Amino acid sequence: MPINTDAIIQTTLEKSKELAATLFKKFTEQAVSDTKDFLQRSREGVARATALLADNQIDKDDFEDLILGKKDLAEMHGLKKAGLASATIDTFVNGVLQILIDAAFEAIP
Amino acid sequence: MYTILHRQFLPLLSWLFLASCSTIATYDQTAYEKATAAKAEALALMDKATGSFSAHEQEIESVSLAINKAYEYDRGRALNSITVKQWEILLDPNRNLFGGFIRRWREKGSLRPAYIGEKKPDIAEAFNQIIELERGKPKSQ
Repeated sequence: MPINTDAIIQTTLEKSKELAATLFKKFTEQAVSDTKDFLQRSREGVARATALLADNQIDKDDFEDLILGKKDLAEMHGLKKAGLASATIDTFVNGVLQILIDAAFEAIP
Repeated sequence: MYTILHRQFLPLLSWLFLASCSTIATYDQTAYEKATAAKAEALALMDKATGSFSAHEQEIESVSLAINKAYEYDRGRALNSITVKQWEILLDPNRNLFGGFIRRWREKGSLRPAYIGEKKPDIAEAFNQIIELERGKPKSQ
């Protein structure tokens, strides 16, 4: 009995669309929310450091270190986002392959 | 016979195919635990930087060793270059996170409480970037 490859591909495409919609929507929402929180914390940190410098609780050297630290932190945050994007793509690709394999198994008489 | 062969070999071929499609390391519980432990030790050490560097030198060595073990563990994992780059930013003495904090402590002898209080959340957040990335990596199948 021949295997219906068109049906396998059709099933894979339909289920992959659903998987993409779920995975990437979740990733985008989390990325936007996380970045907003990060920017807010950074802004508050710069404001606090400025106030501490004005109040002589820290010196100019401390202040510069605190501000440059925010820059390093932003770089680490960007790397995390890049890593999580890779992880999401891996999950999607592996999910599509799993869907294809499952559809192929189901098609074997 | 044809069907039996397919049913036996398809799972193996599937596994090989899936394993070849990764762009980033999978989640590693040991790496996660090492990073969270390193964070706790680093933050506890920072509290002591109002005291003299020389009085805490042994403790600084011990904490630095624990953090470097976490970094080296991650360095030994395949497809893990993003996490390794994060560790390098965190530990670089010429930048302004944990490595820079230790350098400044050594150079200045001791650090101001207000500076430490403001720096600790940044160092905690820097560790969190490594920890959150590890937690978000795909779980092995």
